Amino acid sequence: MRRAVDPGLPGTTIVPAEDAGESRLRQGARTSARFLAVVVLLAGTLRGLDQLPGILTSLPRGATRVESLDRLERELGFAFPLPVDYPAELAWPPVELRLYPGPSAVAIVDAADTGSPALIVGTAGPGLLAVSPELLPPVTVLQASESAFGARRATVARVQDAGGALWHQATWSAHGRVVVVRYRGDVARLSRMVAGMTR
Amino acid sequence: MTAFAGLAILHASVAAALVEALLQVWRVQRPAERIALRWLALLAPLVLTPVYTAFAAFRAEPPFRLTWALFAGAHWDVLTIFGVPASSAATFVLVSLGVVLFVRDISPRLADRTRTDAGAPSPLRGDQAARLDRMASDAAARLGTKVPRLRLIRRTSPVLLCTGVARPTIEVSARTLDLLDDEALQAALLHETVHLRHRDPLHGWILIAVRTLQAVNPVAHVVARLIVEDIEARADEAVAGLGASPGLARAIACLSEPAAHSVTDLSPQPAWRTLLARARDRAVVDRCDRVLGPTAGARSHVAPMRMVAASLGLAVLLFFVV
Repeated sequence: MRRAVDPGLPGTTIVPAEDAGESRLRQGARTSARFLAVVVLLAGTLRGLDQLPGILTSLPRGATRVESLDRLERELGFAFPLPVDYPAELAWPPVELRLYPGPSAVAIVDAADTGSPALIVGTAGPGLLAVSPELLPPVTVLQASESAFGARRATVARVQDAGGALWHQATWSAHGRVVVVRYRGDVARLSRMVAGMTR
Repeated sequence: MTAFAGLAILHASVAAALVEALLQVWRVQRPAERIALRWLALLAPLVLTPVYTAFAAFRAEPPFRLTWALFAGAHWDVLTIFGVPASSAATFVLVSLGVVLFVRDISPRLADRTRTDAGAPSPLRGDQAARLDRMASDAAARLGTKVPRLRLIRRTSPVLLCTGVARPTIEVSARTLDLLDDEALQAALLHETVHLRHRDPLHGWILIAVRTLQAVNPVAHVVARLIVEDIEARADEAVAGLGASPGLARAIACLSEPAAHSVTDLSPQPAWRTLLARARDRAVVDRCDRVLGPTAGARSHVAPMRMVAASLGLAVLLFFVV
């Protein structure tokens, strides 16, 4: 900004620098550039604020924690699949139940002795091809094969998580719903669990 | 209903943030342009929020919320305050604040309308009346408008304001005439006549109507107060343009009752009252400085472009805030 005349006197006029001698094109360009900068900055701030609750709660954006299996099943609208043949070395109840819009849900179960995650069961609503990747920790598939569990076929895989730990994972579809069971133990124990769940 | 109120407050906050940021980066000085841009922020939650809610309901659904939305209030519900989801708790607090601000600002105006002494005009008489009449005629002549209707009101406090939509009137109390010298009274009457020329009493009632429709929205009340300040600044600027700013600054200083502790009043005051009084005194000093300073100048060539850009910016941004 610069003053047109006599800056100290009452009644003088401030003339914006962009109005004084600049072409209309330049003024328009300057106005547009500043407008875009503000919109982008505000959009970024809003996006950052939207991520904040997830950062504070260690949850993916949009995911929520659910306090009980009953509540999880009410939100899902169907029964959450759990192993009938439940290994004795696992703690009960699940240490965490997570829900994601769609819907998808996972239950994380700790080992009774170590307190670290040893079983992850996930499911997705009808029509979804997979449990939301926002809920399942990422893994690398090392080896996969098809297996029959009674009348159902499941993909059984050996996977490695981000920390390098090995898991066994079974994935199948029942009543149009995808189910994933990831177990940090031997494949035979996983097979017994899956056989019970697919019966 | 709670969700809609929460969304309207959220939209009002984003709209106000965008407009205030644009006022800064565009260095908008002219009060008239500031008023127009702030009206956009005030109207956005009143117009865009119901339109988007009614005709673009898919925005609240997970596919849009998770993929496209810039901000979703529902995502804050993973946090709880005393068992209440954060968005509901924030809405409750902000709605309460909105109601308090609305009642605080509206009740004095309603009290003024119902006060019996304010409604009963005194006939103009004596030398005071002649002085007032002469000054008002001078003011109208300088602005090229017809002489406003004058009314002397029975108040012990200094009062000088314009009122009336159908019959614009300048109301003056005898105390005002005692306090102001001729130059200050002339400038003050010029200021009020400018208000009447811009139909600001009608503007004020429209603002109240819009605020009433958003009574629970605290951001709307803050924006409306800023618009009122801009309306005053527009009248101040017009008076300064006529070379009457020294008189106007003196009138503002004389008519603003000293709010802070006077030297003769040494009784203890609560800290919040002292702070409020200091803030009011500061506002008077700032306004006098602004009146005595340089004016903002002619309308910018890019003013219409700014209005279009701000409107589009609001429409687009608020679409992605759910």
